[in-house]
Amino acid sequence: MATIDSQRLDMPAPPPRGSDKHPLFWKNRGHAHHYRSAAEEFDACKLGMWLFLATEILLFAGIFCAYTVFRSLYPEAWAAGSHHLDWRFGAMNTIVLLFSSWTAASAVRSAQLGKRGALIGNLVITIICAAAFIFIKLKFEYFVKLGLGKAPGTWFSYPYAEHPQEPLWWSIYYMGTGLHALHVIIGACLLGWVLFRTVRYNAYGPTHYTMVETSALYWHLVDIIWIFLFPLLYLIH
Amino acid sequence: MERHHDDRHTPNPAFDTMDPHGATHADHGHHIISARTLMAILLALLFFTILTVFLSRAEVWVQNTFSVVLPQWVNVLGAMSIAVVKGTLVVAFFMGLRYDKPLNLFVLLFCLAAVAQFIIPATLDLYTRDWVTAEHKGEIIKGGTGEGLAKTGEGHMFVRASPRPNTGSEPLFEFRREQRLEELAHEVAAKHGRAEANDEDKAEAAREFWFEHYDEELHEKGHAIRHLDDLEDFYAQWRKGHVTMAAETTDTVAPESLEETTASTANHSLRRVGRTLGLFDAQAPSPSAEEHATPERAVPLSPTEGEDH
Repeated sequence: MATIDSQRLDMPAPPPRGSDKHPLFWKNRGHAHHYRSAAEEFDACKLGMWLFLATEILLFAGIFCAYTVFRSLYPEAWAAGSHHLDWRFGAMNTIVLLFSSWTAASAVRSAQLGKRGALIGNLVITIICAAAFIFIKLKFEYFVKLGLGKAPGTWFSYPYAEHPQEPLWWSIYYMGTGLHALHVIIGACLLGWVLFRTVRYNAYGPTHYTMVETSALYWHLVDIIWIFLFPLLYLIH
Repeated sequence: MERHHDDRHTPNPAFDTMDPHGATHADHGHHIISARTLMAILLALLFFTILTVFLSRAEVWVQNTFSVVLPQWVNVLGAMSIAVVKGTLVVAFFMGLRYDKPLNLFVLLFCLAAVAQFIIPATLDLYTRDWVTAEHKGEIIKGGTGEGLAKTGEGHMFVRASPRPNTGSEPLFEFRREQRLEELAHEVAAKHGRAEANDEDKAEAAREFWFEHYDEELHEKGHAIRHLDDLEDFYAQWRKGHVTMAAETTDTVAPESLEETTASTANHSLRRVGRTLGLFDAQAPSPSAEEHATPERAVPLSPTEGEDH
């Protein structure tokens, strides 16, 4: 009867984490057996990520479409609504996200060049930017507005509204920015996972950086969505 | 055991038979974008952000300084075209589509075509419905109109998470204002040692209501209110505006027909930018305002009539 691996006492001790013998170390990574090369696997992963990003764009397109329809129906309520938003917080968050997008792209470049320190640094800055974005959003926008009763739908209790459709404006506002903020959190978690694997296993380098690339793609998508949400909500009045 | 693929018959440049696992391919042949390019793109994106904010503020300034109302498309076109440029930069360089396989670009373009399928027909319908049948202009099936919530959550299959007050025939925003006014009147009455608020208390509460709003909102926004008379004048006008609007909203909607399809009058009212336009002016209703304020159809649509479009 054949023995299974775990029962074999003569098995060598597993290599320590982070050593260049560990299977997760980037130089030790091959590719799945159903691909012909690592390059092919990378391209397939990237295509899969782009297909997923397409569904994400369609998800947000629903909100953009609702925005367009309701805006053309109730232009005054939309004008009043956007006057409740302070463009300075929106612009600040735009700059935070653009900067973090740059560090995410730089993180991919660092991985491609095998610069581990730069990769870690760029990932840390990106995650800090994500936290700053969420902080600004909650502290200066959501909490203040909800405290004043500028809430979506039937939660709306702001007594100084000017237009019957203002609750609708807030529904679109919270749905759009809330879904976006959720994506910011998910993107930060993905990049955090990449950071963890980089620090602990040294898992990404010139021949294997698929997850750095796909997580960065996700992060750039978050950035693009905000590039469109910012003028639609804060600047157009 | 080695498995035999039919690679021999279909040679693939990406597959190196001498190195099937790609161990010697240092960078998969992928383009590494230079640091200089990345920095240039970041600076361009920041520049466009400042530009779009500047344009938006400039429009507000022009409108306030010269008392003109710029057409909507100026604002929309300016902001959205800059957003498209920024998005293109991110996609092309940060996401690397410029150097990538064309298939990924195809996925994105196909997706954007689908987005256009969402938005363009919806917009076309809203803006050109009257080209087909002129009388259908501005008639929108009820939905998100902010009309009264006559039904509470009782009798629902599931517990409603949101509070759903019975506002009767009133729109929600009117209901919330009256709620706050009652609350303030109660506070004022308690201050004077009365159990019930009398008319005097209510008047004081109403005054406090607007001043409270001034303190919380308008003051921060830097509205140039010079003295208290101006403030009173402003609120008097504003409230008058509210009364007219409420009349417009409720006139065409009989309370019993609230559950049914009704014609929204939102499109009939005068387009206005911002909340402080004509703050200190004596507001004479312009001829065009009168024209728009009167709904074309005084009698609301019957439910069967409204369901067709």
